[in-house]
Amino acid sequence: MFYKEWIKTRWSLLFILVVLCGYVGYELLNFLRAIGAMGGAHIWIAMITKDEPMFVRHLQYLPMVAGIALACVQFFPEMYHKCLKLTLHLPCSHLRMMFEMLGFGLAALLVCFGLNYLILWLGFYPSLAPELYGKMLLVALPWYLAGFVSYLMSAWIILEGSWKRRIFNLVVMFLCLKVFYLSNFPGAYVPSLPWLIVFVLACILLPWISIDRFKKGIE
Amino acid sequence: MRKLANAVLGLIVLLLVIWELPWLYNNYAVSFFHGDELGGEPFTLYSAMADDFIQNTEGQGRRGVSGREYTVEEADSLLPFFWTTQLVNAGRLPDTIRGYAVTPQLIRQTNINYHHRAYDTHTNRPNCGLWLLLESMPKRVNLEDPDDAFRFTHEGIEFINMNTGQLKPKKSQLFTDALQVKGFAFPVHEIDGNPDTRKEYDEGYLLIDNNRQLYQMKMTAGRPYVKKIELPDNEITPKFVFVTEFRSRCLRGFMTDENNVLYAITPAYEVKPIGSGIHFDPEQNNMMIMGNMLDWTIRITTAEAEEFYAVSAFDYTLLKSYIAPYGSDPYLPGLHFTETIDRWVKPRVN
Amino acid sequence: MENVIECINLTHYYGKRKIYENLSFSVPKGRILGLLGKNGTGKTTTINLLSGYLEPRTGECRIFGQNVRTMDPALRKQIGLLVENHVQYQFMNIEQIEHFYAQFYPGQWRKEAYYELMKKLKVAPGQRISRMSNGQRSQVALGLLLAQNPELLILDDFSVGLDPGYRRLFVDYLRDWAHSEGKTVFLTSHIIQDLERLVDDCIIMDYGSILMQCPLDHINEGFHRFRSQLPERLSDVPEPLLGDKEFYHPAISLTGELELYSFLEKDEVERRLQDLHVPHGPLMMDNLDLEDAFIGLTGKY
Repeated sequence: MFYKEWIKTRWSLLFILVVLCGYVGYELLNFLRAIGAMGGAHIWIAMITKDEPMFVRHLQYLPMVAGIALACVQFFPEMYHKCLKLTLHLPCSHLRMMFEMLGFGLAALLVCFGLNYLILWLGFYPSLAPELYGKMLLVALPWYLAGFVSYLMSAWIILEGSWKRRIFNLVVMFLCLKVFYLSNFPGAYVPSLPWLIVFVLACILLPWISIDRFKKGIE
Repeated sequence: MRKLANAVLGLIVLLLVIWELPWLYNNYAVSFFHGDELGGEPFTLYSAMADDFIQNTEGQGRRGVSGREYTVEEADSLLPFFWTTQLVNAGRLPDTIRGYAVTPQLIRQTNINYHHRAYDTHTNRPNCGLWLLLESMPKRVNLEDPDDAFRFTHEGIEFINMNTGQLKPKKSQLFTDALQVKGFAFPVHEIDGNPDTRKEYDEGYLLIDNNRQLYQMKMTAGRPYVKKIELPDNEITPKFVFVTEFRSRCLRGFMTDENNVLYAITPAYEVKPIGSGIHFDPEQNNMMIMGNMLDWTIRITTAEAEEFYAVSAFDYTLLKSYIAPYGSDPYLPGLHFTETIDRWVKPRVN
Repeated sequence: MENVIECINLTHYYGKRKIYENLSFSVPKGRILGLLGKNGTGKTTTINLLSGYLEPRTGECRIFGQNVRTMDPALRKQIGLLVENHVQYQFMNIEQIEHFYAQFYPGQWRKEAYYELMKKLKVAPGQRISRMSNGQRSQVALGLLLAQNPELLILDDFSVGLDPGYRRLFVDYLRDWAHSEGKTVFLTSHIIQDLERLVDDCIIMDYGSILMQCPLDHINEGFHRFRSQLPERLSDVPEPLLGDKEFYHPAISLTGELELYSFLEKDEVERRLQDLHVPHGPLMMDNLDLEDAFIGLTGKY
């Protein structure tokens, strides 16, 4: 199953990775340029006194878009001429196949997002105190969690056969994603992180609703 | 598994409904159905001359909470510290007010204006744990940005060079020693300061240590200045401190204790209750103080009421108070993630 | 004989539109069974019910004795499924798709059967399925089914989009494989000539029910068209003819000929026409190919 997902998504994944890392690189470049132009102290003072997502601001909606994009390249081919019938006909438990497909996507996103964090950290840590880069990494965390949610919910929407239900699902996804963008205050989401992670995990079950409906022939 | 997945979806939809529907109602319908009940209390100031809280009413008039009506001109004269420019332009600013000689410059110099928003209280917002300490006696006239930041650890205080990211061990030791000599117990419990170079002078930080004792720390000529501020009563446990740095230097700051009693920290480092024990919870309430050389009007916004207190600027005794409770609450309860009183995003129902 | 497929009392509706009610049939092991029916009689519905992608309102489909909706996943190893339009994973090439499927069928996968068929295709090994013609795609799908070597094959309208050459290739390969290995095949096609070369038995569906299920030979040998010039020109079929269940779709042709279809012998038809007092001239009996027989059984409209 991983082989199929890999063949299906490898070039798109590479593209997503390049775009994500490109953006992160661009932000880091801005950061390093600012340090060079104004000196470390100036940047530190701005970061201590301002409660804004400095130097990661442009990443805000990127993981969410990455999640949607991955779900599209992974699940639109399954719905093309109902290819999903082939997948579900494989001699494996349907639940296992779904978890494997979603597991692949989540793992791929985790690698992309993890690399993003690694690059950010490598860029920040030589010139910033942990408190300061922690602030930036923390402010971006809900955005990256939103990437997982957008992936899982997009899969749920794409695998759904009925248009009415797709629209309903879309509204639910929009509102759920809104929760991740209520505040840009660095660290504001800290008390919610366990809840959000539970939410991400719960969303893994949603595509099963669509697959179950697919098996019933609901269109 | 189907049941579980549908249950998850049901729960998600339920949460979205109890989040979004009350929000839609509260944001769009409440002002439509209950528009006239909303709005809270108008701008209100205490006038010592009238011994009344004078409010701006809609339209042109002014009204006292005592029920008296004032013309705008009367109100200007009754609030000379606020409408100073108006009175100067009309040539009506008296030379003395209640026996004190005044000039427009003196009034501007001695007026104070202080805002506290609950969401700025340190427990109501994430803090990165790095602070900036300005030089209180800069060589030049203006305050300057430091080149280091500090953090409190369990053992002391650490200064970090912001250009290199390296610790400054000497300075760190110097300040740690200075704090320890005064009996400061690490780690710090509460800290407040205002590292803004546009202010006129610097009072450093007010600190509450691990033993709930009150301190001031600032840097003068590169050296630590630490002052232990004695509390008037051993029973008092400080909870929050706020540096004021008013132009008039009439105050070092405010403090509240575990019982949410509001105190003033005077220039002589005395801690005095304000208005014989006004209750102010910095985590829940907003506070606005507009004061002059004679008296202050303190407006505290709680969940239940708008409270107005007039206190003496000399000894903080209560002159008059006025409490305006809110009417019936027209807002629907529901699920919220954000609140106006704090910066956290977390689920809560109210 | 052991039944591989058993459908019992199937009832299905799309919304309020009834497709069929209490439909039952079974497919014995080792037979190639074709499902024939006009458009909209529920052929694809039946395939979907059988492959588990539709839930019947009532009734159940059993394959190898297990309800398809709750079947042990491992049992699907023995069921090959050709989805309509020969759909396969578009994003893979010939080698990747073989590699992918092989891991699901350890022990039974016949790689060489697949590559033997692929050799006949003029495609580069790295060419993606999305860039293949319908015919080439059908061969890939067939090759994968032959490699899987299941006990039962379910084919949904295999002739769609294929030119005669590929159709013939598909049919011949399939027939040889099924007959030499004793496999069971259940298929639909809208091109009836293809079935003639392929199927052993057929089920003919009418709107809402099964018209008949029988060996193809039974139709080929026993079902005929009877024509007779009428002595006088009639605009409507004589009433008594319509009442006889043994006469299928009696009609008056444009030339004024009486035309009817029946499994009865010529003598018997003649006798019945006399009994029913239908005036007619000399009776002619035509042998039919499957397509004509199908039309005779289901009517032109």
